[in-house]
Amino acid sequence: MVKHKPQPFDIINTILQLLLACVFIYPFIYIISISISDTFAVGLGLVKFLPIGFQLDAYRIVLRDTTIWSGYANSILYTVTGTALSLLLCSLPAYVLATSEFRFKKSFTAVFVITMFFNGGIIPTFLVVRNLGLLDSIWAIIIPPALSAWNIILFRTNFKSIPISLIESAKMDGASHVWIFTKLTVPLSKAIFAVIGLFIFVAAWNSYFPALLYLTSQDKQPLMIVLRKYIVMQNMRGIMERSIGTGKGLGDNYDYEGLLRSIRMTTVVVSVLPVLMVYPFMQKFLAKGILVGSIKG
Amino acid sequence: MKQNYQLYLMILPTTILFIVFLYLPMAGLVIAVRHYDIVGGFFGDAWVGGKYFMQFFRDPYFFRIIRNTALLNIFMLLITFPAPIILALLLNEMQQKKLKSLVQSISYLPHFISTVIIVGLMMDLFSSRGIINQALNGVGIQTILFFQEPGWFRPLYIGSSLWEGVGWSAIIYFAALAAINPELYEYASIEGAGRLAKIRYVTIPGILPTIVILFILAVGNIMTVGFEKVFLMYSPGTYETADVISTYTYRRGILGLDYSYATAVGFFNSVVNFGLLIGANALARKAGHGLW
Repeated sequence: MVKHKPQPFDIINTILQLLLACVFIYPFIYIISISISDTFAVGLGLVKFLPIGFQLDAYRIVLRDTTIWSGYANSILYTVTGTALSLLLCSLPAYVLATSEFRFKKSFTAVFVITMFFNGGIIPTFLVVRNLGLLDSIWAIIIPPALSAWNIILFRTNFKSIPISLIESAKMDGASHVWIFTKLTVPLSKAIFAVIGLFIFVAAWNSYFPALLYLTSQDKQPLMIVLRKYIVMQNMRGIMERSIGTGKGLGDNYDYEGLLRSIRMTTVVVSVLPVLMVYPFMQKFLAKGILVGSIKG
Repeated sequence: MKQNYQLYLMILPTTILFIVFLYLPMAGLVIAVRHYDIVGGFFGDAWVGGKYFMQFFRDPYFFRIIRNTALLNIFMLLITFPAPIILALLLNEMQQKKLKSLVQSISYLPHFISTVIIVGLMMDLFSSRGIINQALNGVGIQTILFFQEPGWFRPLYIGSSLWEGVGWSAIIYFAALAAINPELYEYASIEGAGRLAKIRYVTIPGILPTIVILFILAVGNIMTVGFEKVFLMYSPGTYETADVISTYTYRRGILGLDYSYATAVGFFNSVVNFGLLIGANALARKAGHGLW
């Protein structure tokens, strides 16, 4: 393209975009600043952008809190197993639907695709899960979200692009479908597995509704449910009694209100961290993700 | 061909799970017209016809939740639908490639943050001593209790959704913009078209099909509100504007154990949605851009 001289529009546009970038990034800096700033500064509402003073008491309290840790452990368990299960349950049928010799392709495709338009809704789904005796079990959290017709279609579209000659020659050599799937299809489709896997991972890490609906035991709650209690319902009683009530490790030099806010923002930092850590990797795959998204059905 | 059993082995587990977790609940919708008792089995124990639907239409909250659901979505559509298009167009016009990709990658970061955290963050920023109120006080406006005022629910909901989703939603438009044939721009230059003319006669027509498809899908969802965020944001004090069909269903069904009634409400919602989707598609088809 021809480079033309910057016009007033370009200057305004650039400024606008920079402002926009600030709006997107500001809350992230703000939460980090609150989490490490001096509690008096936080309590007085002086911290607006960069940290003022420094303390790590909030981190000490949060990292000592067992509910956060068990929430973390549960979230990791649900997210990792859920992602693996979903990739398996979506890629296997996709392989079958992509092979030329399967006879009931149309009927099975219909079974999956119909669910993209109709569903039973919250209550009937809840009743099915309850009647199966899955209440308060990990399966209630990981199976229903793992069933995605959309992901099956994405996998199928991708598997179809594998050169047919490769598969044909493997078959000539007497390879079984399971062999072709594990030794040809999966290695050749690493990118799509990564893209879909990352999306499922992030969605699972961030979700709280299935846990709210199906889990009753306190010790099975994922991180987002714990965070909901602390930062949305602002019910800090547990964490405060455990840590500050005993006063262990804390001097008298803190502002109660300020410390509460620092703790809340620390829990946010701690929970956003895993997502921020996979974010650069996601960046790499996002370009592919766009392509995946634009190839419909 | 003797290995075909392997194909069945690969497709059947998922199919069975689909039937159990997605089709069984659809069959379970029948409890909307049956009397359901905890001891009476999954499909209820007696036919009651349209009793629960009639009960819903006479429900004192019927009008309120329909209105809230519709208004929240219409405002959402009006604001969050054009925003990513504008963002994509503006970014597309940017000359500095580095800055462009920087803004782009920052803009979809919020999409990966959980709703719980976004709402928690908003509650901090908009609290009585939060940064927004400090700024308002600074210019002489009195403290506003944002989360307790019904009037502020929609702006907060929509504003945060915009922050969270605009960059992500713009991605699909970037893809559409990248697919426009560059020769078209060259022709336009030869014809003496300025920048605005190029946007108007090349860029916008190029992404129009994408816009229409996404618009139909958005209209089809007009009566669906993401339950998760409303549930986190609302409180009895803001039910007046915040209570929507899905949250009402949850309270009546899961908390109130009124399963049949809540199912009827949810079913009514799905039917309305489906009707809207069909209607939107029919309109788009008349314009030559139907989804099917």
